[in-house]
Amino acid sequence: MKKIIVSAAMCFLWTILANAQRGGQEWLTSNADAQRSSWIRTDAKISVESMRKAGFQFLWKIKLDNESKQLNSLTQPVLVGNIIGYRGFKSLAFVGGSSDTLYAIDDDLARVYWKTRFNYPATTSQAAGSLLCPGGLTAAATRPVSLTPPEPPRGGGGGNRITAAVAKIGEPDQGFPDLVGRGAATAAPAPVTAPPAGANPGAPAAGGPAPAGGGGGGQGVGSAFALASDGMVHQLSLQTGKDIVMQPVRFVPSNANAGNLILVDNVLYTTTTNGCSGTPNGVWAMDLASPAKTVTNWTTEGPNVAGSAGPVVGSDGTIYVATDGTTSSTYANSVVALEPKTLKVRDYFTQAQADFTASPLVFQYKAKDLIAAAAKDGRLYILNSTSLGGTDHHTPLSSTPLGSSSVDVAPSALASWQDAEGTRWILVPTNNAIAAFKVVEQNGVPTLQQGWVSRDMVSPMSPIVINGVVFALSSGEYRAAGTQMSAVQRAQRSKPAILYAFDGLTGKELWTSGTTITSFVHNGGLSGGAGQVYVGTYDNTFYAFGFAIEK
Amino acid sequence: MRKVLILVGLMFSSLVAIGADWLTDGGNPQRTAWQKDEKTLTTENVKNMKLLWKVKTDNVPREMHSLLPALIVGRVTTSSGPKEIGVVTGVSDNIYAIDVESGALLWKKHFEYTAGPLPRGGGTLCPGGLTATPVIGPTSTPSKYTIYAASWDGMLHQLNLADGTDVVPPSKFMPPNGKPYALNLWDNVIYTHTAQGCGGNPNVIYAYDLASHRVSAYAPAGGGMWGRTGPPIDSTGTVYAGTGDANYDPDHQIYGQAFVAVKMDPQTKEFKLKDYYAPTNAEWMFKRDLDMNVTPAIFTYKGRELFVSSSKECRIWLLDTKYFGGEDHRTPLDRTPLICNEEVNFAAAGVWGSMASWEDSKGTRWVLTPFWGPKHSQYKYPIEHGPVTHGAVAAFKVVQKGTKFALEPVWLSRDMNQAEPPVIANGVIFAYGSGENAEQRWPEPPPGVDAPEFPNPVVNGVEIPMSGQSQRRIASSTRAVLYALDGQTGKELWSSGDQITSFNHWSGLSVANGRVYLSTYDGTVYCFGLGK
Repeated sequence: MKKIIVSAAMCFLWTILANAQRGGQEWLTSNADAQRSSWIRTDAKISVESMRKAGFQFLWKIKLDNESKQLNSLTQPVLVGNIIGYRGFKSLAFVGGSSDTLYAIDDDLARVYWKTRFNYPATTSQAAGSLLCPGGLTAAATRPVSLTPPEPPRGGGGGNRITAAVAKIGEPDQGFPDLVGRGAATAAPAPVTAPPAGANPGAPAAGGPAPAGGGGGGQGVGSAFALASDGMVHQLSLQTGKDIVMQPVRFVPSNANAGNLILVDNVLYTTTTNGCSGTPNGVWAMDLASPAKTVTNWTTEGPNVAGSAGPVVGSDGTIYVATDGTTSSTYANSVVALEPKTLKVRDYFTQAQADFTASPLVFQYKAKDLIAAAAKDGRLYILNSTSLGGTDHHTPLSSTPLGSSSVDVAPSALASWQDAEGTRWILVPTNNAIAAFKVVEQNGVPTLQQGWVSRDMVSPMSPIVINGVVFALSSGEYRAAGTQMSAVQRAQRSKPAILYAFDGLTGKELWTSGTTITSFVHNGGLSGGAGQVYVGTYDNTFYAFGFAIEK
Repeated sequence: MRKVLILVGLMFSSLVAIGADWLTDGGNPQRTAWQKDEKTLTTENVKNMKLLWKVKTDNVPREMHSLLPALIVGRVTTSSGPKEIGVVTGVSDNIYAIDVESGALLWKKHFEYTAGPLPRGGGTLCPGGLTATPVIGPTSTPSKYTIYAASWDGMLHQLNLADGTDVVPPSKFMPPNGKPYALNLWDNVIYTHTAQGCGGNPNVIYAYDLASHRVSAYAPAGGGMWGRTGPPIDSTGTVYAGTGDANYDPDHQIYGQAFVAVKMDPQTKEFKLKDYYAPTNAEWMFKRDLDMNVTPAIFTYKGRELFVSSSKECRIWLLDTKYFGGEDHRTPLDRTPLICNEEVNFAAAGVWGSMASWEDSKGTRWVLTPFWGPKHSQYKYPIEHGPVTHGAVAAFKVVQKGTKFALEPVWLSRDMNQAEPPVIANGVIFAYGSGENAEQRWPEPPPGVDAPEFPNPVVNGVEIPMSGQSQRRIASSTRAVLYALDGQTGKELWSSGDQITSFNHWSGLSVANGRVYLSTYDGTVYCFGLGK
């Protein structure tokens, strides 16, 4: 039987390329991309100019049937701008629920598209839960990401290479006029918009080149990865939420406090922190290309992994994490660089008593990877990726005071973007505001210069940037020093969250959600794209803000 | 006296034999699918319809395409006397002429591909081959006709209907390996439009001027134009097409998710954009791939020339061709709520194909639309004939309330398996469910389970290699079923039951002189009627 076979990866490559025409850059993982920039470069609707006018608004909210664990409820949403599935073209947000559920929400129609509940095995006891070890699902899902930052999508007319309407007439007996500048009527190349012939387009990808849009190739192109509280990782169909390609497989021990997942070059990564259920703190890697799904881990030898973003990946695949100073060890108060997949220590920077609080961030500066890391010592460090701390491992490129006392700063992450003039910005959530710094050169060394500080907020979370607009969340969470207060007590003292939009260049407030949100936010945080911004709150309500389109 | 009576009888029978034609897909240039000249079939006698004959052609399918709708000419002068001829087109560049009295094949014409090596297949949506139903035009000689057909290589052929010979040598028309839709003929110009970017070709409205042999082209930059029965033409010669797969951005001359109205300049023969309309939710429609994929119907109502169409979104727009969309190009005369596709799917749901319209003896103007999938749970009709889950035909009346025009729902047919565009004849609505599987995506299998594989279909003993999507859909398709419905109520008057044994895809009905024609994937042409 002769068949025309094209790899299923090509079908998904076509799918994703089709997405780029409609959906734009996607929020593929927590904090958007491998470098955890939280930056969507372009957006057809959100801009400083559009945000100055009326239009951006509360769109809808949906209450999910999730049960909060301690203060945890909904993870940061991971997005797919446009999936062509058996139920149509859909724009979906994947939100993890602390009661071991992953929700796919149709973010146009405000409906739960599917939900998958991970059944905790009866043979394993679930942890009772505490503020530091809440139990339940703790890690945001991920889709594959590429090492290189995404290119802006190409826009324009339909896929027929005519970018504006045109009329022409041919000469007598010469046939059709040439509308695309291809010369006389000749044999044409392969179709542009038709899907390739081949096997079932619903079949999962077996591997393929990385398409434009920031998405990575390899296993998982049409799927999302989720980590259940029993430590098993699931590869789920974006269409159905069911396990595909691989059976669920052990990744980390049960009841660990796992950080947000990331999948790069067929390797899945997460972190564990707070030593929950005896799980050592560190970084974990699963080689999805290996038949046995080999797991490797690196331990901090004590200190917690800092920050909320999970492992951060440089453009060469190096994994970065930061640690706090809760215990003494070689890698306490450090930013550590690990080899991809093997997790062998490649380099580190240690600053005594720094007590890093945020996940580090990788950004490009003059074609090189630099690392930014924020610490409880009130400083923001800039490190050279090729030599994190210099020869003595203690020398950063520069460090800058944050200008804020850092009492009980919650684990967080930074954000970074580059403006139209080429200036690189680093955004830091302090305990009561968003501080924006520009990267400047002083004596040939990149350093930080304060740009602006936002209005006061209550326990701000990591901001995101969409087309030059900084969206920041006043989480409303009550964060007292120490952990004596129970989760219930903290929740009672917390206030509703407020979403703000600021001009990324000046910090000027452009928009606020006012009293729309009625609960606070603890874990999770913002994500956005394609004209919309999302957040899930402690009371398990998922909100969408953006520019409405008529349906 | 006896000789006079015989002569009168012969004259009368010849007049009856001339009767009705079906010269173009959709029945007429306005694509109303209304056979106005039907006298034989009625709502009273259609229940007695039966299979008159079926003919198996040797056409080889390409992907899911096989035979296109039949064209019928009531009286053609041939070397063996006057005949009523049916012209059936096969996707593999074949034209068949059939004596509809007997079902006998009169002649067959095959077009050779002349544009270089045969192109490789482009999948279900780009099957290659002859995809545009030809059009038949009268000549200056009574009972002599020319078939205009566009072959796979983009050439325009003009054939003598009587014997299939070339009237003139083939002419250069369109790029090869494209996907043009049914040809239309107006004022000595052939019109069509293309879609899906097949063959790497842009999606364009084409016109071939038979007098000057010049080809005009208009590209709206708005994605494909794939109304099943090609572009309709109004009384002024304006040509209409619905676009999909692009933004609506008229400031930058991008007319995606819109209807464009173009007209040929009588002097220069170039197309000019005359007008356009885009729904106010065009952005949403583009986002969800709810293309304007339906050939509109154009008709006269109370002195105004109106336009009606739909899309995969599954609502109907009514516009005035003179004030097309109003000043802002976004204001129709009427816009119904959604009548189906609650799930907002891009496949296997919504309206596909073309609209239909007729005027009954009381002067009521009707609009009909087929749709796929379940009816919308919130949309009600005064008359419904059971639950609808696979598709149906919906009927509306055009009404005037003061200065406003609107579509009022009247009836919804019984459930049909992928309801296709209906044809109206003498108050009878002929409709059919194609039986094709219209899905385009499927859920992935669980871990450790291979994706299902489906064989290539075998037609006329020949295995047809094709894409995976076509394989799966063909294997999952069933049979077509033809229905006759009462035009006033939608009540089922007759059904073909299980007489048709295969499905069809991208084909259609034809009705003329008491016969109803439908072709299927396996290359069979069916003719139903009352018989003698």
